[in-house]
Amino acid sequence: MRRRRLDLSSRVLVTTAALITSAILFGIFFFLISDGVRVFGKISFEEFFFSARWYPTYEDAEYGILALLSGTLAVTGLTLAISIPLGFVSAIFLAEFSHRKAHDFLKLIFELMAGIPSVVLGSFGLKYVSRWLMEFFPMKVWTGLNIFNASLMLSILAMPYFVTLIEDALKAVPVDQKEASLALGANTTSTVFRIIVPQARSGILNAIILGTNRIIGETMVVLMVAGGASMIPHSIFDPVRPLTAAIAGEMGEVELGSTHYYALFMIGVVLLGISLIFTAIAMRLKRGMRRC
Amino acid sequence: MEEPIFKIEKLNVYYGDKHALKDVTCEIPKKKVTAVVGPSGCGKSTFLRVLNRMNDLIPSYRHTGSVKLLGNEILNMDPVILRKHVGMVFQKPNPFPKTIQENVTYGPRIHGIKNRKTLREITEKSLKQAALWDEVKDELKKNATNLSGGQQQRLCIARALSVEPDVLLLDEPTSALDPIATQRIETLIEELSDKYTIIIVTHNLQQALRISDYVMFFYVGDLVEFDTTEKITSNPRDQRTSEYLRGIFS
Amino acid sequence: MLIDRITKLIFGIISYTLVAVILAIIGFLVVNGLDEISLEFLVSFPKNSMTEGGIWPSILGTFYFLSIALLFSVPVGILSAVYLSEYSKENRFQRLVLTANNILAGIPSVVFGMFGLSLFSITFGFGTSIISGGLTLGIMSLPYIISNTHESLDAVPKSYREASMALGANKAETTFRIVVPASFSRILTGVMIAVGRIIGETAPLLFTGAAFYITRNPSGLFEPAMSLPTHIFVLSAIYPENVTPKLEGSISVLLIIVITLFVSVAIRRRIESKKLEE
Repeated sequence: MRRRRLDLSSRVLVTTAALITSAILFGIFFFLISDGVRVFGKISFEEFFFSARWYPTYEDAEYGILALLSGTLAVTGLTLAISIPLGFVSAIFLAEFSHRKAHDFLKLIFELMAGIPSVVLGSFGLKYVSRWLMEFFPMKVWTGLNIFNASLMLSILAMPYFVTLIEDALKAVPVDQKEASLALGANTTSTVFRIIVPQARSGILNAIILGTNRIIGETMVVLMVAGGASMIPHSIFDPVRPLTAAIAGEMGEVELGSTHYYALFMIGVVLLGISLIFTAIAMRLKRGMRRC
Repeated sequence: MEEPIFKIEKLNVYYGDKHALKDVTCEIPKKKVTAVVGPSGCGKSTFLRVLNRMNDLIPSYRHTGSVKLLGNEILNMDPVILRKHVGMVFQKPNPFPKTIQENVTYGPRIHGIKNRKTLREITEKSLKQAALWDEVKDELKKNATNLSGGQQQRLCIARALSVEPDVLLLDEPTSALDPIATQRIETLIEELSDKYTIIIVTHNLQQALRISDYVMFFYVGDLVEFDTTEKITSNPRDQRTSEYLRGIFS
Repeated sequence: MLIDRITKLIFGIISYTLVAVILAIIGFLVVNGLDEISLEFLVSFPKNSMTEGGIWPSILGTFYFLSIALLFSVPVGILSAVYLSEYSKENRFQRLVLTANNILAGIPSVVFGMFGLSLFSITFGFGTSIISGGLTLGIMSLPYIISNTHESLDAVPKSYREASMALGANKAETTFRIVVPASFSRILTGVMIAVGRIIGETAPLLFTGAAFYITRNPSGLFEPAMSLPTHIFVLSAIYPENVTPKLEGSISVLLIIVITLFVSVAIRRRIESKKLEE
């Protein structure tokens, strides 16, 4: 019967789509890993992971990613230090202290924040923030393109994540907990910090993990604004070249099949591994949450 | 009674380990209203849903035994075909978020009717049978969710009738409605029983006794008694039946 | 309570200041480039090393990349979500697809770029082209479309499916005639949000599809194209100072597009939540 055939073909169609999605994931791992490991034919494991000398364009090329990794860590760390507290404060304000209209307006703008293309923020950081930095900190700053600049711009990208996810976590705490506390005579501030926030712990942790993952994986801002120097930083005003910036900056000029090419792919594998770990942790947390 | 529409023999239903219906054997008469009553959780809805294989949608469901519709074993029939012959109206009115007309023509179109004129005729006929036509005939393109609860339920009845089933299963059709809407549907049921076999689950005993020709009394998964309404009200055979009738169970 | 008022004040000041800073930056960037935007700017090609002319090829290119991306991700995404929501049981394969989706959502954009380079440009031989870049963007937007569609489908009341099956419809008919249409509006909003996300993506296109300076429009899918975000990148980072007005204009255009999309989505969401309240 025609109906029965359509029913069966639909099932085949949707299952195929699901298979394609899974295949894409495996494909990404496969392609990146298979090209990435080829770098170990030319250079050693120790050199790649433990040397801070990333000089792929030199005569005697060296491929150590430690400096790049430290760049990623520095930028990520500073961004988290800026955006988590600010995001947390805003989330609390949104969840507990704002009226409907203020809440909706603020939330809207935070969502808009998340939608700003990273290349626009990179351009803004490149053209304007770098100059401001050089004016305001003439003693400490020798280039306006540095960790601090990148972290400021990245905070704009990351904050909406923290604000919305933490607000959701706070709102997920059952209302009767808050009511019980207030009924005992506690004020809202204590209720928030002693009752609601602790109970929203895993949701907040989830927010931090997802936000961190996003920051680590961000490319354009750090490419344009973090400075591009593959060195281990000593101050927040030092330029760095995070992992993502190295790939984006060098991929265009690299020769197919060269050691440099494979080295970049291996960096991709490292990034893939990092995001996989974060996603796995977040998924574990979610499962734990459901059991409560 | 003339040839029954359903012949049920040793029907047992399980949800996982729970034995929900035990050894049910009975014959359901054609073109009569049979009410299925009993205290909560006794298996009334489960029984109803065996008749159109809606229980199949529940993963832990298992059945044994035989249920024959007009001589055909329904337990191993294609449920899609079965449900054209055995329609169902649910407790909470559930019209599709579409126009009134689209709600009524959904069923016929699924079953292959494409001719617009035919579909319009079916719409009018079904809505008239459900006593809704006069109220909505000028507003067929209106969204069904704008109707009142009672109107929505009559729409659901019209929708079920549009595929011309042999049997209409009603699962507590008025429990979500106000008394006036309930009244109208009870009148409707009596009218419909001239053409359709109606099996209605209800926890409202007065309603059951008002509108039914036969009563099936279930108690904790057992079919305790099945007889004409007159007989059950005047002289029930089983003590549990008379206790239920007197309102001791609820 | 006094302490509550203090908390509210301080936290409020911080929140509003953040919002004000953002609005200032966005406003500044939009307004700064407004005087550069003219019909000529929008429809002409860049000339004279980008110091004159317009951004037409970038706009057209962005449109091409987006179209290819959506042509891939909307069907695959919606159907995958239908699989997860309507057709799958709680088994290993379902968990695999859900996990795959979660992992894909967290992968950095530059890694997608490398994958696109490796698969489409090199292995399939498409080279740096609209189809390589478009498919790469499509893969990037897939996880979000799947998640959003999955949620929308789950939100459809179970009673609709029951009513449909009770009328004798089979699974495909119930799914595609009742469930999917009932959640269509939410699904569409999700697609719009996905568009907003990928329209500003630069990194993946840099190695799979972007051209940096072309004098005529691409004549086929297998040629590279310019795009607004890559154009902005190039004007900021690679070209000297005197292209600044063009840069400012491009940024304005991109921001205006993003803001318009955002406002439309916000309006749609308002309408949808009002409908739910009824």
